[in-house]
Amino acid sequence: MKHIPTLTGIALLAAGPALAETTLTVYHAWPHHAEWQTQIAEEFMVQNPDVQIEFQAPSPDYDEGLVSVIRQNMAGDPPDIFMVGSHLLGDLVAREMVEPLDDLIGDTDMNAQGYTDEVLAFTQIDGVQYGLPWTSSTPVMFYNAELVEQAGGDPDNMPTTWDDTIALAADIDALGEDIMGMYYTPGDDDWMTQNLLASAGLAPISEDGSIAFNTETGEQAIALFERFHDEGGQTAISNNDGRQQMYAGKLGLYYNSTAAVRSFDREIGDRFEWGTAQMPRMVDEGGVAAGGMAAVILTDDPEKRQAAWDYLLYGTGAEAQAFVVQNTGYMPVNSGAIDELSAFYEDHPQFKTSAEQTDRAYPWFGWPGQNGARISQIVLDEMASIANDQQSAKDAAAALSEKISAQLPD
Amino acid sequence: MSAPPDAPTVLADSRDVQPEQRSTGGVLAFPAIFLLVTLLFVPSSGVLIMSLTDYQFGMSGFAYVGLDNYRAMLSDARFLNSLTNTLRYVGTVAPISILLGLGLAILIEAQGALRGLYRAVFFLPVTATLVAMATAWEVLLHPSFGLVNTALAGLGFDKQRFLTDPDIALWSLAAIGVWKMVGYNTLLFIAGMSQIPHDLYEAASIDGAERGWRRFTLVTWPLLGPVTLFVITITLIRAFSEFETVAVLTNGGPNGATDMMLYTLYEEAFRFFNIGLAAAISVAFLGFVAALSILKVRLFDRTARYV
Repeated sequence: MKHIPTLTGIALLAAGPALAETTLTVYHAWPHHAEWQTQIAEEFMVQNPDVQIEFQAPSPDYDEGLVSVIRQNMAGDPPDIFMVGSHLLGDLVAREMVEPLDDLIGDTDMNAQGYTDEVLAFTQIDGVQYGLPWTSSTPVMFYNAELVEQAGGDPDNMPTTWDDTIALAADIDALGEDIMGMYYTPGDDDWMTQNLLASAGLAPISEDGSIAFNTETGEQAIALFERFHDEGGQTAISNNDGRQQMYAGKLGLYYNSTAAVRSFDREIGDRFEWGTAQMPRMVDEGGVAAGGMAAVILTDDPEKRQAAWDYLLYGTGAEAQAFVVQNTGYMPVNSGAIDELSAFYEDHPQFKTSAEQTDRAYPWFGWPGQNGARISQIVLDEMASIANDQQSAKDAAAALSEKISAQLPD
Repeated sequence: MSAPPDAPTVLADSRDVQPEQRSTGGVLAFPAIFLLVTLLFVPSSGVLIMSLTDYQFGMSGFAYVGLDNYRAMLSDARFLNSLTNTLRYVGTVAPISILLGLGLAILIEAQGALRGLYRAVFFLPVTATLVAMATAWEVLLHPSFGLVNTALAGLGFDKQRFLTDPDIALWSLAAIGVWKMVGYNTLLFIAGMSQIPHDLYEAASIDGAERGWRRFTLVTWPLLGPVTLFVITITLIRAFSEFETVAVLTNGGPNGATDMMLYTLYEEAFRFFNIGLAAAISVAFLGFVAALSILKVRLFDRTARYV
């Protein structure tokens, strides 16, 4: 008879999922995010036993995630919730795969829930709210404090302009044959180039419709990338190689999304002192480009939409966002999380930098029309040609203006 | 090709076939025909039709645009660059991996005790998952502290940016391509050599061609003809279809220096969503592979009659 309690336990366990009346499938990018994504879902299910969250295998990046979701949609069975790079939201809208959230938001005062207008704007298309930002980031300057000191810099007082930064990088580069002054990653798309423009106070397309590369300031912003290589000691290697160089303690300054902070923490450990500082500016009003992923609801079923909305609110709520920040390096999308994070930020100042520069953040710019991904590739190619001395920044800026305008809708 | 020379070749005259034999033949051939049509002809025709439209991946409508995609393809600098890269890659990888494969096969077969070991060593890259191996190559080729650059520096040479220097990147991929293909070619040549009847070598030695070069030119090389033809075709097709190393190591960069045909096709279809143009590239690709295969079959029929 002693087996009975065990059997009852098994029966209860088996009954657990049966309680769930609604099942939601969630699809997100980046396999290394699976751990914290799953933990958010598990916590949500504890609080909402009638909802079951199931994950599809994560896509390796945003582009492939989008392709997969479009395919699943054509087959008539898309996931209920999809986390997409916010610059790709327009592709979903153009394919009518995602509905505005108006019915779910209703009269809710989102500002009062901790969502600022700036944050909500990340996931709007033409002012319509199609999703909620699930994570948010800006790029930061990672530095090797020991190399900065050796080169005569002050790690607690890092340069704030590109001119001073490039000068510091040159000094670091001169420290040794195997030491590289700086590495500004070109990235996988045009986001890091948008950041160069932002540091010059420019959006890729200004409000009067002109392309930033076609302006004198825009050209100077592109020329920064040339100066990184000519003056700052950057070599045209891949981002992976640059990171390994940083982890090995042979790179002075590195620029990429704050989402990498946690990896730096793990990879560098106590081997040398490192930190993050705000992105340098080219002009006084220079900003940064924000990025991150949007969570959208793809299901049409009203009951599922409601459950999915609850999940979105939970995942972007103060508690879950504080958890995401500590596990990645992203910034919280919910201002309520800032309070929860104050002790953590105190101990981990590297995580805080990004949040401190959001007041000068531009949204992740999505190119109008259907050719956004192609324009991203054009930008990457032209930037690579600058890095490899195949053409001057001036010629690249001219080529960019010409090629991009050919891809934009009339 | 291994039929004994004295076996009479029986070719059934079609007039002799009874009607019931015909219908049995039809039934027996049906599964193959069915699969061929559903898996090959229908999808290929679909691609052919799509190449005449402006279809964007996932969008609901499309329009007939005639040969616009083909015109766009032939005037697109990116496609032409990718085609040039592909031809340069094939022109490098195919001859080197074929000649190296032949050389290795001869050396390994001449070896006594360690023959099995050498076969395994050179065949290993073929069995390895290339995506995982590409990552290993990335580590080996790291511009600062990869093993290859450490060795170069140790020998007094300059370090190279193997995968990010536009002048070198394509050749780095070609070297990896040779590494990947040479083992397969070696194995095929070894198989071909094992088919050569031993008495031919005895006859050759009686005629004075006992060893070395004369033995190779008189017996081995002519009898390897059919195998060589097969190796050439398969290597050309495989080199032409190179995709993994580009996708994992360079993404076609820097600035298109390693863009190759299949990668361009993939980007057009699944990153830029331009299915029409991607379909046009597919058709061009299919044409190339089909031409090679037909050429092979025709030459094969003519030359495969040595033994």
